[in-house]
Amino acid sequence: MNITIDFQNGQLVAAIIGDLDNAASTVAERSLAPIYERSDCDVVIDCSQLDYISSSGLRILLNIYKHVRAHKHETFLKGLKSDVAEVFNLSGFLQLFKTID
Amino acid sequence: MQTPFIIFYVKKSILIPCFSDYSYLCSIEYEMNGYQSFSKRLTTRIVLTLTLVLIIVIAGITIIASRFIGTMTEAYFEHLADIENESVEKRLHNMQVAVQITIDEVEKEMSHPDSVYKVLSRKLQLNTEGIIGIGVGFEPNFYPEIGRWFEAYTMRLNDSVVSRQIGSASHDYFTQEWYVEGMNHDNGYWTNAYFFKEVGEPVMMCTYAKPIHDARGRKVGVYAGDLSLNMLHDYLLSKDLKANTEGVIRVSPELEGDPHQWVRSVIVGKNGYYLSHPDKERMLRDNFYEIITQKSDTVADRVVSDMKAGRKGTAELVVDGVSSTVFYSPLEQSDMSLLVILPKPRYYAVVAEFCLFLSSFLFVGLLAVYIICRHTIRRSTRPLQVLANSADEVAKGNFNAPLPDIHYRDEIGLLRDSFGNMQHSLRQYIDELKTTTAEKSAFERELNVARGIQMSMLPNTFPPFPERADIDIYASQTPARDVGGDLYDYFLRDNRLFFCIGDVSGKGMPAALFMAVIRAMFRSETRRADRAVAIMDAMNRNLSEEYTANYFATMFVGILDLTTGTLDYCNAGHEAPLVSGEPLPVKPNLPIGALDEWNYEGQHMQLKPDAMLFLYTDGISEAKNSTMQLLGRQTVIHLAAENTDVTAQELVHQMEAAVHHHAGDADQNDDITLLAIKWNPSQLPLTLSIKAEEEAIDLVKPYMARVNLQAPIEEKEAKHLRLAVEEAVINVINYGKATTILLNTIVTGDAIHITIDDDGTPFDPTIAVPTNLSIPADQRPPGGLGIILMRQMTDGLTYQRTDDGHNILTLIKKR
Repeated sequence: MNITIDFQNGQLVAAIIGDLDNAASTVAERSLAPIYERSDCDVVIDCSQLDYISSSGLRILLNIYKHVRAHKHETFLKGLKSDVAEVFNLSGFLQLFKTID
Repeated sequence: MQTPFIIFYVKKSILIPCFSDYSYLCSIEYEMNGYQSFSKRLTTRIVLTLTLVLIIVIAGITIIASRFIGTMTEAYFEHLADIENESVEKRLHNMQVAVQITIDEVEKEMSHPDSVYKVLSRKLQLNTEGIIGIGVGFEPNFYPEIGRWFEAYTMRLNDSVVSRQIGSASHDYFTQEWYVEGMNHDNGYWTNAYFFKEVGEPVMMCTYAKPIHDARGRKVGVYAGDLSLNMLHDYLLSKDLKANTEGVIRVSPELEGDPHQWVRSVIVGKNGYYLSHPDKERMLRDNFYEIITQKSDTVADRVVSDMKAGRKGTAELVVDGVSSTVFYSPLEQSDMSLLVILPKPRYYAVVAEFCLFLSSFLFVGLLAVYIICRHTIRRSTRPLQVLANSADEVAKGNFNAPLPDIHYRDEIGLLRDSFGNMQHSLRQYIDELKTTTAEKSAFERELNVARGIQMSMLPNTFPPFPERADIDIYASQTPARDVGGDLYDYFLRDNRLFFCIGDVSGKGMPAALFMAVIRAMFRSETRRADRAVAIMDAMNRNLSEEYTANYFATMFVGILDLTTGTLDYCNAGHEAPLVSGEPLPVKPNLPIGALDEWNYEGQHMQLKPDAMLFLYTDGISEAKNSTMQLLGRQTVIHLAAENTDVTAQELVHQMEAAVHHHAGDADQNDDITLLAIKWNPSQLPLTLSIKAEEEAIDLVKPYMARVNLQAPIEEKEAKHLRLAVEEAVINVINYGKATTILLNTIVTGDAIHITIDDDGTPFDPTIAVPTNLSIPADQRPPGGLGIILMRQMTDGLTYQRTDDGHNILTLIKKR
């Protein structure tokens, strides 16, 4: 699993590539640390290459959401694959985020 | 004499005497079928030829000689006859002369009878040779005073001479032969022989008579001399003795044998009676004419007439029953003949004696020749025996065997020199050979060690991963020579099977060394790289950097993900492996070591469960039979396609059998390596046992992949199922206080049942407080998300707590 973070068009774009399962969550938290250092922009989670997400992954995203919202910004989910989207949906997490294709 | 034409088994012991340059006396036992000394053979041949020639010569000589000897013998006896004749004649003549002389005197002294006596006794005293008596018989009444008869007779009696008048009526000499014939023969007349018995011993006599005349020339009486034939008889007998006892060689002291076979000298009278004969009994009794004419033939008749006519001759007659040669000659002035009878046996005996003498001489000569020849030849060939002995020594390995000392510049000398040269050369060659062989065997020993090392380098324990039921691997390698240039390798890492197969160009030791290098590189590169192409690239660059030798190797590297069955591979010029009988599509990369800047291209393929991967080197497809036909790639492909359901070992053995069957007796021309890998994911039990700790969660993903392979469902559903299982397991690990968790999957036709069995604290997710999904996620209490997911992602969830303290949670997914 790989995470890349970029600042594009005034947004912080974090791309998650691969499976965000329990094993990957420790790595993911570290990789996503830069998001917590900023508070001035929206965050886009690029899920176009996200194949899998587990509960711990969901928890990580939830934390990001909370942090960003606390700073009055939005968190977007971009390019969600349908099966991953279903997981978000069935767990009720889909409502939290705004989605973009 | 031996015949060299019979072959017989001979064990000969030959003692070789000391030569001056030897210090030993060696006895050689020759065991050879039909061995015969050369000297003996040669000598025998020479002597045999010689004998044959000499027999012919002797026969010829004998024939000629016998004739010659016969002639000589005849001549000898004829000569004897002549001598005897002459001698006898001489005696007769003496008598005649004596008589004649006496007659003259008597004729002078006839006046008175007394004077006649005087003359007679005087004459008798003087002439002694064989004359018994002399006498004169006068005509009737010549001396009237005496009367009618007057025969003055003088004879020897004992040692004195006696004279008497013997004429009387009872001794009427007028009618006696001597008087009658004497009167008629003016020149003298020899009477027939007769026995005179009147005085003393009977004596064979004959009388020589001649008429006497008076002064007026009138015949007045007959003068007669009596000659004893005994003297002649004795003379002839002595001659006979000599002739019968003396031979060419032999002299016997006395007559021996059959008298009829003796040489006999006889005198035969006018009528044929024997007058002298060695056997006195026969004298005047047996008649020669009668004897010879018993066998009536013309020869005998001729002889009789010859003798009667006083002729000389020789004839072959049968005398006394013995075939003889008879030499007859007349005694002059008498009607007698002298005969020498030579019986044939005697004659032959003389000839035979001569031949025997000659033969013995020659035989002794031959024997001498034989001995000399044998000795000489043997001496000459003695060096050959020594050479034979030396050859035996050389054969035993002793190249310093002594050679005979030969002085002659002949063939044997040549042989000896050649032998010496050969010995010297052999010594040198053997020394060289010993060195080379020692080196070679040392090298071969090393080669064997190298082979052992090489064989041990290749993984060859089967099955290599017995704990992995999903991998069935079998390999075999047969190098063409002691060491080969083919390699294969495989090992397991991160649930992936890394394997390779390769073929180094060339054979033997250099290829083997190269092969070892490549294998080491494979092992080291695979530790770092995860892609086949990367491994290939790295190996290629290493080779080209480090090694300048013009060697390269075809290679195939594959990485099989045992979870998913994905094969990541890269082929560098090697034969495309077969997947369940179908050639794997390969890109045309160069072999490694060929060009260091070559960019390798990798590929990948998804294997189906129970796929059989078969890798091989061209040693099998290019296996030749005795007519140089190749086994062929198509045969290999065909065979693999037919054997997709067998085990890896069976497939490899099938391939090996095909090669053996094809090649037959032909030599293997290249290394043959075969590697079969069968992937049986279905062989793995769908069970997973993990420790209840954080790291164990990593094992759930591959497990779920396996499950998916066995029971494929839609990808999305599979992901959901995986999520549900992972959440359930994470829950146990984080909150369950368990030690081990056991997962087991049962696949039915319409559903997948996964049970999660743990020995932790009782927890039933089915009745756990359901998280209120209506509450926004951010407002929900932490935890519980996993349970939501578990419930949402599955089609059913059941829980059971066992008596021995286990939680059994079953997740159901419809398919």
